[in-house]
Amino acid sequence: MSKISNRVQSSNKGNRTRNNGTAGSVRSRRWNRDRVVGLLVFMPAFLTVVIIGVYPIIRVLGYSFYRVDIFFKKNVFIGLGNYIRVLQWSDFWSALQNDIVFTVSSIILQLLIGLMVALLLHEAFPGRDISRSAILFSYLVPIVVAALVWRYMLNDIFGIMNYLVDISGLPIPKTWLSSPQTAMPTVVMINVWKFFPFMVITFLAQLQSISPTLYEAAKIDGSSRWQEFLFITLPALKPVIFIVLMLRSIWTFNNFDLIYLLTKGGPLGTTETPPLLIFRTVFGSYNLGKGAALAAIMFVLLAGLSIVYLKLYERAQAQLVG
Amino acid sequence: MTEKRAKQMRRNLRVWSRKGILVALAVILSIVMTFPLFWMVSGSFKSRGEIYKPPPSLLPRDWTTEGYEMLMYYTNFPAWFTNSLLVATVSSIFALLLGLGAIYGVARFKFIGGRAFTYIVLITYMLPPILLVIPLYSFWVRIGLADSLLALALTYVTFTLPFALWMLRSYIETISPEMEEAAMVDGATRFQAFHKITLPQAVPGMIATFIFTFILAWNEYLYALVMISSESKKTVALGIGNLVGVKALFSWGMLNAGGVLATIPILIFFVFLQKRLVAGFSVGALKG
Repeated sequence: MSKISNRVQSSNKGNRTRNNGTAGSVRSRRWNRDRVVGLLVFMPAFLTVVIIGVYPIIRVLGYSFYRVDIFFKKNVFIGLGNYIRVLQWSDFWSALQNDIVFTVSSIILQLLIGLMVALLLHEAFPGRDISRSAILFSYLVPIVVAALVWRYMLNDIFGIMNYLVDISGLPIPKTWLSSPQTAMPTVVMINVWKFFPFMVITFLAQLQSISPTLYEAAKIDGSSRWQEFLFITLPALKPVIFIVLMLRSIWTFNNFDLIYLLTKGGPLGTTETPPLLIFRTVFGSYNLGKGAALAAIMFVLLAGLSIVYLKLYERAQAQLVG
Repeated sequence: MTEKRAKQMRRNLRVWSRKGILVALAVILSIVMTFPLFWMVSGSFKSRGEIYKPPPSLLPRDWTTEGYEMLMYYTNFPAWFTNSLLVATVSSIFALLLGLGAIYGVARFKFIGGRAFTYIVLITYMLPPILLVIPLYSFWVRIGLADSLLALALTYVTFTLPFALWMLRSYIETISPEMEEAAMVDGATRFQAFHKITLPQAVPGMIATFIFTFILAWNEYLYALVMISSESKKTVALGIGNLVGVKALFSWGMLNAGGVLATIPILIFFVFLQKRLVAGFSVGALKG
């Protein structure tokens, strides 16, 4: 803070000595004072981001090289010990595998359903605005409420889903969240229900920006609807699809609350993903060092994933231009 | 003549049957998406006996507020509700002020690293909360703010600030700096120019941003789970989440009642900003 106020004084002084009250000097003095004001209004956010974003990452990296003892407050430096222990831990590998299955299947389903629904809600028909609002609902509802209502509907004694399975006679197993075979598909289904509207909204916004003259020209040339989709709609959506895929797969990979509230990682660890494993390691077994190493590994995986996405995105952009 | 009319009729039929299919699909979609929430509302007015008795009825056979009464009697729900309001409001206002300052500074004064900073903020938005929660929790413990709503609200700034900054950016950058400069040539100070010219134009964007960050904070669960331990300081999400965990002890009517009440603030905002929803989502990309 003192550094900034020093700079204010010196810049004002500089102006006063250099110029002698011409119009230009007023402007430049104001400009300098302005820059200081700009810096002043900017700094609080900057400092906050450093405290809440940058500092935690450094701390986590720090913890990951120590055996941290919460009870005796004695930290022992063990180098890569935590990392080696994590990599030799079968729970880590199964959690990673679970998360990949969870993320990839959720994202593919969300993309397909999101695309179809966006195309549907882009058409003009009576009641369109109401359906647009209706699909947003699941997205805005708290995750806690989504978990609650699905557990209510999937209850094995009085749940309406089992009742619907019974009367429809479809060969759907009625175990849902309670058996190791069906827990993951069920969690994926709920996750898709909760989050695909995000894709619909972004796609809809992009669809509205496509010029209608393109479709009119295509119609005159005698193209089919499928060709219009393939050669006009899809290329226009491509950049947005990349961004949405990146955002959603990172957030799905990071998801904690939905899985925790639905299954707590069970049954038999079949839905446990790295975020839940970190939670169990740090707040269940109080092994802060090992949990931090896990978090650091997850961070590296996410960074890798983002780089791959950005490279693909750049290539797609280049293709679009070239 | 008749042939022409027949052709016209056939074309009308095709247009209408297409519209019919679209409407039918949209109706099915809307039902699938909203049924779980309808089912929760309906369940919140059912008696304990009715919930367990097959076959399930679409609407309660005998309407009862038993679930809501139990919620008020057995839990601290009113306190949770005020806590959530408090935490969501404080963290949103904080994010709004910081975000507005930062984006105004970057947009008007173009200092070195300003743009880079907005991208760094975006990266913090991508960090897994489970990574941030460990050091932030031990930080609050060390400075003696464990189990405090203030610490929770400040922790929520980790996601409300990036969101607010990026959403405000799109609004602030559309306001041209020339009007402000013109006012300043006429003798206004920078603050007056900001206050009289830019701020009024930014207000709609600020309201929309506030609503979005409020919803994000209202829905948050993990940070609350780690940081809050005393019953009286729980947020709605944490309180309901715990009830879901020990559901065997409570009736589903009561849980549903909690779910309904937890959704009401979201519902109010939802009605409030329906028009803006599309713009808001595409700009800031809500977190899930």
